[in-house]
Amino acid sequence: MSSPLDKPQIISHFQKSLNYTVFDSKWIPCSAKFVCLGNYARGTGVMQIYEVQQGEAQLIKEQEFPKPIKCGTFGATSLQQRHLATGDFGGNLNIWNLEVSGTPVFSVKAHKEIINSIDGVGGLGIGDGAPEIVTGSRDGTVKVWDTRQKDSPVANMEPGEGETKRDCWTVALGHAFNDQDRCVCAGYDNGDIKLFDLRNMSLRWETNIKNGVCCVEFDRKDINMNKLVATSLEGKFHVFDMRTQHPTKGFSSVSEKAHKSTIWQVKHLPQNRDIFMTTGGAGNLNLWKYEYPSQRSKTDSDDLAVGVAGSVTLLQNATVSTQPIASLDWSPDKKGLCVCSGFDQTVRVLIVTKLSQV
Amino acid sequence: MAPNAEKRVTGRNMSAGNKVIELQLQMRQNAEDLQSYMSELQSWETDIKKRDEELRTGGLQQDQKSLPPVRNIDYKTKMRERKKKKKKKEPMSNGDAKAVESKDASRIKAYDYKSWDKFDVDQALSEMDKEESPAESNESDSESEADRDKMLAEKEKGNAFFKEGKATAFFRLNKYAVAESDCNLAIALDSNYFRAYARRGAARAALKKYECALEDYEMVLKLHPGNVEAQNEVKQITETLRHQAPAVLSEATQEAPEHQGGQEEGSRREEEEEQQKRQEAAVQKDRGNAYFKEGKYEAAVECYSRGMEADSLNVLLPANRAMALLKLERYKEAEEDCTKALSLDRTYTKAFARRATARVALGKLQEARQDFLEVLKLEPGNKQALTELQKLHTSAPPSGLLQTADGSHRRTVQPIDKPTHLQSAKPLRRIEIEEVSGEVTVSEGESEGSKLLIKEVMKEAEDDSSPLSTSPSAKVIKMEELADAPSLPESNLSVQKSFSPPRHGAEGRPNRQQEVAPPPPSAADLPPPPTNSFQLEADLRKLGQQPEVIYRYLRQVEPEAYASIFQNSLEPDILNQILSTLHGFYIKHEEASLTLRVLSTLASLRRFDMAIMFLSSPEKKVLNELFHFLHRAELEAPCVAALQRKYGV
Repeated sequence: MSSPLDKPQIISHFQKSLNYTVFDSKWIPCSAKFVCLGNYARGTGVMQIYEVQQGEAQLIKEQEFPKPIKCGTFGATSLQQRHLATGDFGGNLNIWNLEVSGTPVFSVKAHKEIINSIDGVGGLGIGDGAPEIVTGSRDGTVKVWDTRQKDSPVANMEPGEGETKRDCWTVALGHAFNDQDRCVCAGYDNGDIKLFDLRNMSLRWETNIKNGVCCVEFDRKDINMNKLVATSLEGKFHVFDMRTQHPTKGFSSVSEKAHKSTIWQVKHLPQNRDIFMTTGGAGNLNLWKYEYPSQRSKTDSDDLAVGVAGSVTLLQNATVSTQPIASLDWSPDKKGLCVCSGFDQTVRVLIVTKLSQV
Repeated sequence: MAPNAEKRVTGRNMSAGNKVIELQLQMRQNAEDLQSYMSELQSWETDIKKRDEELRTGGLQQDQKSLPPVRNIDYKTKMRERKKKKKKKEPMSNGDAKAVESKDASRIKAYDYKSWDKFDVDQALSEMDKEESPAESNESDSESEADRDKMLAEKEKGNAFFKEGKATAFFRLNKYAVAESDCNLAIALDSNYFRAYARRGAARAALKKYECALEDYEMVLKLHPGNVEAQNEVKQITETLRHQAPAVLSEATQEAPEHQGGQEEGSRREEEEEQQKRQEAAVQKDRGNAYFKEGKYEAAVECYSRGMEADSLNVLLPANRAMALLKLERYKEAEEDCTKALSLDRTYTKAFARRATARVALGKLQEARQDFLEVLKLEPGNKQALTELQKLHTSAPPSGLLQTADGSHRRTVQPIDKPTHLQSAKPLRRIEIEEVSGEVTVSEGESEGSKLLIKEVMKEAEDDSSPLSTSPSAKVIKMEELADAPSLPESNLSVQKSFSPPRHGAEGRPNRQQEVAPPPPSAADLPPPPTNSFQLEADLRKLGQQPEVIYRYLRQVEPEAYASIFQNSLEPDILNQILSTLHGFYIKHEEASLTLRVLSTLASLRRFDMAIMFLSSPEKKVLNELFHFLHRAELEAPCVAALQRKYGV
């Protein structure tokens, strides 16, 4: 029985039209609320908090800021505080207490230009070690922040003098399975993917996937690196098996042509790391499942271990909009619930059924 | 849909028909999945909102884990220091010096290669030279500040200092000769550097070159009048020299009379012994400090203990041991040590501070507060004391360190592993597990609410099968022991009895297997009337082969309600079950008019025609008998006859 109906269904639960461009939407952990970050037409930033109430989104709070907000994360906050870290067009990293409006609890001019991407680890019980935030910016630098150190980043990854500064589009944290180990992965507009090891403070691996890297994500942040998905401008995505690193070949990968347009986002299901959703530039969503090969590594002629990539299968696809879906976030608390927002100034809450059966 | 279905029934196009049916089945399943997801979502919504509220009001407390230090802090402070050193002339602000000092002392991680590259060996040596208590890093106090300034000043002497530092290291390694030569070098580089003289003096004294040592110490006193160390040493060496002279003399003459010895000799020897012991204590203290710096707290404690044995009056030994014990989380002993130290010196702030820390950990908050206050009295503005006091103030009295740690485990149920012969011989009792997650809705008595509850339970079972599922565990599961609940309504009990399997008798323990088997549904857990076909189907499946219970269940349903329950999805199986229940029980127990109403409602359903076609001949027989019964009941004959025609019998 392999009819399309047998598979998980992607259903739009409800949607809400907004009067601003929304760049990012995130579930507030341990709640039925989500936060939308964006840009008013008049050039100011906005943050709105909605609560799901019997199939409707109810606006709870709204705040306007001088600079448009590009991205946000709850990754480095405790469950008690649930502070949202945001990056804005002016290059500022702010951390907000959502219970109190007004001034941020932490604020730093992190970059010279727009912060394109932000990620956090060490909070919410996900990942060992200190809570840290990583930001990637158009100014070409990737910086790691610890809120206990106010003025400067704890690590700064920037191109050497004389090298051209590439626009960093996406960053992701991972490999935080003990107090010391931690990795930052960054994707750049020229197709570069760089993996920085924060323990050794060194570049661990780099590759180029030819097209601009729109989004990278580890399947899990708090385990020994397992898989990394990188999506590209031209509609391809790559899944890297991060368990086995070959000294010259690096990590092996499988790539798949998914959407006929840019793949804006990839997000792994918090309840099952082998399932992930990609969002396309034509408003479509694809749900994928990664299948491991029978053996994840083999030895090559020089007796060195080299990884073996698995395969990906498309579980379901759905089109929810005509405009790109720029952000997607699975609810960490309810399996199958996700929020996504696109450039049609609409935020949607989606339901994906039968996820436990795949 | 309908024509397709007909096609299948007539069997003209079997394969296509099958496909269509499959498709229909799928679609229906999907719709039901979605429906159940939605209702689940609603209960999740209430659940999660409750948890959210708890979080917001601070109801849920997580234990605070200790965080590793800020990344690359060592590296950065070193860099900063380097820069500062380059600008030598700029006076260092006190605040900065303090900060650098405290960070400096934190150990560089073994893996932190970059920091090791930058590791300043001379400075580490100078720190060793400070002869300070090991816990300096914990308290930024005026003492360390002063040392800091001194050190920086010394540092400017550059190479001379380095040589001298090296000498210190060799001295520690008991390579006195090498140390001496290093000191010579240092003195050559900087002839005014009194420390080098002092060090050389010590080395020479150890090498038993007492005259040279004396010279060195005198030089120190010349360069640095009032140097207590040197003064002491000079005194000591002159004494030793005086001893040595007669000893040599006696050795030479072989027969030197020892009459001047006597009492004087005895007291001197005692004094000497004391001196030795004191030295031994100092050595042990140094060794302990070194171990402490390496993080070998156990070894450090041992050294301090030995030192205490040698010299019980040294206040630093118990205080340092307390610090090491604190690190080992042996708070009780740490507290005792601090008390000991304080009995030797009431003004030793650090001992107060450490005892306070120990007491906080032991939950003696009141006493800890006292200690911190004492610290502040002795040293107004002590940062550690201030912050700790504030913490004590804010944290509610019962939340000691240990208690929170316990609290985090409160909800974990530990598995019990007992050998069979130790297990209770009492027969096992059945424990009813009742889900109270949907409590609120249930108490309203709405059928809607109870439906939610049931779905919840079913979903749970489903989740168990997949290991990756993580359902929020905010629900409280309440357990009731049946035997302990005599308040159960009498009628329920009787029903239970009538269904429960015959007991095995008194001999032996009841079969465990039987105890585990699902309990026969009693009236107590008769499902509420269904509101849709899915639920009806699920309930019937659950009730299984118990016609009487099914009858009781169906009797709850108003005949007219079937129309809204089934809408357009009447399954032959269900129809069958209803009919057989009608036949088996309604004929006996209910009025004929009720049966008629049920049958006519069923007949008006949209997919009734199709369902009827699937009836087998025994089922038709059941129908026949039903109608027979209706005819006998003398209801309106035309109505019954029309219905009979609809049913095709």
